[in-house]
Amino acid sequence: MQIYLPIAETTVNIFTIFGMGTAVGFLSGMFGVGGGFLITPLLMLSGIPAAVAVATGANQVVASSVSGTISQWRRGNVDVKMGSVLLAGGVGGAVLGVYAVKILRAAGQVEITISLLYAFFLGSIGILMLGESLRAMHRSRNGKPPSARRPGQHHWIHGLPIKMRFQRSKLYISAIPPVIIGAAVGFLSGILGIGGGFIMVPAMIYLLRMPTKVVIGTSLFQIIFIAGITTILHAATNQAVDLLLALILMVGGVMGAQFGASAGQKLRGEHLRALLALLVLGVCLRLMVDLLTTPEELFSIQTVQPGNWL
Amino acid sequence: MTRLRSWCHVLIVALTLAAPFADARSQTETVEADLSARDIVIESDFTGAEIVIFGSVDGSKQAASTSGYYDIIMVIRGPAQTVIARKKERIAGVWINGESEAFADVSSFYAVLSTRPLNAIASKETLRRFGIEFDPNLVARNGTVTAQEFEDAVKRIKQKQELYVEKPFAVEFLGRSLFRGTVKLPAKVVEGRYTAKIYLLRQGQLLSRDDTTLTVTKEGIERLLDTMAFDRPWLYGILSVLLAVACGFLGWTLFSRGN
Repeated sequence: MQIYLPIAETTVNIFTIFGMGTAVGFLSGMFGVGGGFLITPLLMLSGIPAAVAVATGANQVVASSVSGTISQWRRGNVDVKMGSVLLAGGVGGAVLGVYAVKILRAAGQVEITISLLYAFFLGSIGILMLGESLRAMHRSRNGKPPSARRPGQHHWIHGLPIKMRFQRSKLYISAIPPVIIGAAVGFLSGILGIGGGFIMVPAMIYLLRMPTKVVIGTSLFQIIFIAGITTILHAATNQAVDLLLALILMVGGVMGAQFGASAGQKLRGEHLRALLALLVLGVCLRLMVDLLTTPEELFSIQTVQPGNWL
Repeated sequence: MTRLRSWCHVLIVALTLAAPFADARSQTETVEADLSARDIVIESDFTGAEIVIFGSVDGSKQAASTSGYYDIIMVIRGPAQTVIARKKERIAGVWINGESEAFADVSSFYAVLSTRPLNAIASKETLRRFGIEFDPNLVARNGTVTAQEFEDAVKRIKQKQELYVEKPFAVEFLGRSLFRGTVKLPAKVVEGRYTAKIYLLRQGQLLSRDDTTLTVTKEGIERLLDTMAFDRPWLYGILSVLLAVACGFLGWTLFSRGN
């Protein structure tokens, strides 16, 4: 069944979009990522303009993270305090990110910047996570404790001021690193139209050393707000949120997220991380192919408001 | 008697002489045309629209529909837009957007339908004089490369999107004077006023022209969303987020309350 999208100004198959939403929702529920890093490229492949794909992707991320967060919340896996500290930085970052998109769009470099940033982050994080989770699997097979946490170890992070106690995360650390991480991820969210979970999750595990169990819920929790702000800013500056497209994606997404969350419960932490790493590397590879192979059509055209192209 | 006969002769001669002149006046054939639909409405089931352009040649002199005495050209244009064409370049192994050219007054939709290929109907100069050409106007020269390849790219890409259509045998005569042509507006068409110009030609000369218009508008939910997204963008953004939150909450209630 074909449906016309008012903002994207194109016709798509409703079942294709719905299926996409469900599949991405499943993965987001499983791994605690918003799924924006998958939905945006998929939408672009379906013929949705890049700006609309980014902005609508962010909107869909809100829905899937809301339902994911509630599930995690009920299991006691959300560290609200940590989430709020991350958010404090994230809001500022997101505003800067959306502004950067506006500048890049005028220069005609938004697609390429998005692809390059994706490829870089997905690639490095994928390799990092895969290596770590393989080592963890190896360790647990040899009968050693699988925990990556070394509570006694002292880190330069522990020397920073404004220390806060995060009970859920069993941490007593400075608020500065979470604020900086939040800001960096928020900035990328604004640029890439994603929640930033695929960067936030590893950052929480490896930099803040939060327990994996709490990481997913807390990441989803703060993604709601980051993706929400990104959506509103994109709607206000670029008029690129297609509500009809978002609605189809959301209905599929929230269904998928629920099944994904229960599937995730059945998997061990390191297996979950290894799978996410493979997924991340797969998307990275796909982007690299596009960036490096000679395109079939060297040219692209963009319609602009008169006088707005300089 | 002879006098009367000679008068008759004069009259007959006069009539015979006058005939070609009278004929010449009625020879200026005129074309009249209309569209199967003048208002195209974009609703959620919009997948594009088929438009039939039909018309007739008043005072047609051709013997049959197949005699090929006349040529008809139909030009349908959508609202003008400014378009930027960009060329990808390889920098350090990566393909990125390099040089660009901007074009003004590019018809968002351009279709030309005819009875025969355009170059067989009239010369390029004639066609151009009548405005029968897809003509992106270069705004300013930015790069060092020639603008021609950018212009070709605009045509090529629009052609692929079915927004630039050339159909050389799409107009056919159904009778001595009645003709018809069909054009498809793809789902990607923009809102606004479209013009259809119908040209009647004979041996490369324009005999008559008729113009008509159609409008493309969004209706229902598409209209509502489109208006709100551009007139109240902040409200639209907040509403989108609230809808997403509601959707997420509803999803959780429906599917996993027990978990």
